[in-house]
Amino acid sequence: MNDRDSEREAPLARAALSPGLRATTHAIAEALFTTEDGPPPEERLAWLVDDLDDFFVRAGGRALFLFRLCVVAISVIAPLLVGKLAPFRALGQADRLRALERLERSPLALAIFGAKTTLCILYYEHPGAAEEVGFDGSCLRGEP
Amino acid sequence: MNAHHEARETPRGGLRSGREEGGDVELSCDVVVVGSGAGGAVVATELAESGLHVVVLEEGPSVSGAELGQMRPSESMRAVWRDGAFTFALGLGDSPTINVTMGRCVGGSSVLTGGVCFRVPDAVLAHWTRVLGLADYTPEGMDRYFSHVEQRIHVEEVPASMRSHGVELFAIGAKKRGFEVEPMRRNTEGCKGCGRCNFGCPHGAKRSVDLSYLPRAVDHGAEVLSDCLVERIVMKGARAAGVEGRVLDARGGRTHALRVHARAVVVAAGAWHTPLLLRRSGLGNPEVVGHRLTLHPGFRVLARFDEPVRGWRGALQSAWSGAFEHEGVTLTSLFVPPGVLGATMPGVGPEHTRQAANIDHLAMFGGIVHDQGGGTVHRGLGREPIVTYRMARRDRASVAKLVRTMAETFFAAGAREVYLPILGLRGVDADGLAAVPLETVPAQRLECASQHPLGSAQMGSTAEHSVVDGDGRVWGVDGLYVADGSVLPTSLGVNPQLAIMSVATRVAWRMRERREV
Repeated sequence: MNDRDSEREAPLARAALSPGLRATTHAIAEALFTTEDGPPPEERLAWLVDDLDDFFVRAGGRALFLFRLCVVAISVIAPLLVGKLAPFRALGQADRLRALERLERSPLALAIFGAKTTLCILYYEHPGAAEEVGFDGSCLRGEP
Repeated sequence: MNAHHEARETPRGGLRSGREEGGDVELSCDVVVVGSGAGGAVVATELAESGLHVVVLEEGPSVSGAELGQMRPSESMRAVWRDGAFTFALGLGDSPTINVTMGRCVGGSSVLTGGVCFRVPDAVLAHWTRVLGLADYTPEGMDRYFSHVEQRIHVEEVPASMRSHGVELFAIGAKKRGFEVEPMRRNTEGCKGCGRCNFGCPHGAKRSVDLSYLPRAVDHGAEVLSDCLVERIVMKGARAAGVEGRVLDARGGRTHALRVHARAVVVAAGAWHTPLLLRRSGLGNPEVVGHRLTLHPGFRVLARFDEPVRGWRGALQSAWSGAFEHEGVTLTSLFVPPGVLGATMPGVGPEHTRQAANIDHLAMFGGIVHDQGGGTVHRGLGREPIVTYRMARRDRASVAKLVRTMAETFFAAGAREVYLPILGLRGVDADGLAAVPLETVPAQRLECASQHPLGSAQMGSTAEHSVVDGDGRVWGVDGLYVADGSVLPTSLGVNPQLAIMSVATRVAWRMRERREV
């Protein structure tokens, strides 16, 4: 097997998300899933970002590219909608919430919808999150 | 096997990954089939059973039902959905951008359907025969194909006892509004109603083609190779003589060369990729290939009830209504996992999580538009196409009718509020529904999905207006056939799985009857 072949057979464990994308995604998820009692447990957010990384390692580069577009739109445009020039992850929690709300009601709603859908699908598969929304766990996986 | 090819003799019959060959793959056979979904698996099986040596090439992996059953829904998405479901038709003009999902695995999208099986409606067949000149496509002419497939995949009615409570509520509302929902017919045997068909049946109860057809093909000597991407159809003069491509690694990267010599080539890569393969090979009428794609744009309405609903308990798709077919829409029951439900809850932060906490009180119903087309498959920069969709004015009007009908039906059943498929719109009560401008809401704010891409390599009666003839033969090319959803010349208004399989059966039987292989 030559070097090129070795590269082709690279293990699936390679990360898909860059550190910057991980940080921004973490900030979006923290705002999105905040309850009246505060942000979700850090352990759950870390699990979410790790699982998202695995999702894109397996789903492929095109899916990651489209997700990244959504996150970049949120990172750059959403702060402008609340009069801030800073990137999304540099905003305080209150500004993050207002920025996402405004983006969701704007003509660019598709950007937040794309990111939100992916994050929700994974987040509510976490046993703790599933329990909080009244899902009894049946049918999440098939019975053996 | 043709003697002049130097391809290695391989043992006849079996399912394996192209990677197991450990190097370049070169095979010879009678017929090579590109794609292992509802079209490809059926053609391959029918031809293998008639004694031909068939090779099936599938781009995606082979994943067993037992493996799928142990996956979370999102794990299934990353394993067997194309691009993890990040697949879109870009809306042009007053059209929504549509999330078009499809399978990428042995069995294709049949692994991910709700199992719904409809025959092509008589009115649609009448249009095909009278207007499009496909004289053999009468209800009587197609009956033997429908019956054959229905028997093979075990089509049965979903009993009322398997309906989820959400579907029961919708049925109550329908009755109050003067229409009925009818039992769905699906290709199942021993379904336990666990409601996760879209992520692969964990019990082998859904008779997708990886279970109902391909094992028969293998028993008759067919070779099914997963992880094999076909990039080009090889021609010898005016005749198709095989295909070329690459074996894919675990990350989807192109590795070793793939070459299959054959006396005939059947393309069944689906309406997204069949036109790409034809174009890349310089085949098919370029004025038609990739055009007139239909999608059955789909919309859902969620309704919150005071009582617990737990809509995930029951068959995923158990009932439907054709009461509004005259207005171009069909209503079909469905449900989605909690994570997807959560994603449809509007708002962010406390507002979102407060509403998401009620998902066990949500019922859901969906519907599709019997669309007139307007989609185009363009060549993209990489392997995947860029697809655009311009919704016809009549279809755009049908969207409002569809959404309002579902919402009003839920209110008739006692719903407190409904969540409409409009991005960012909060739940509305019955009075609020009247104030929502469904007819004029900007299309880019509509949440729209499709699982039925059809018609991008249509069959017809003339080479000028179609890509293949009524027997699936590509006009002007010997030995090249198309047998998947791309040949359907119009949308159906109902789920197309049975139609695709029946047309594929017809293509295979006609190949044999005409002794073309």
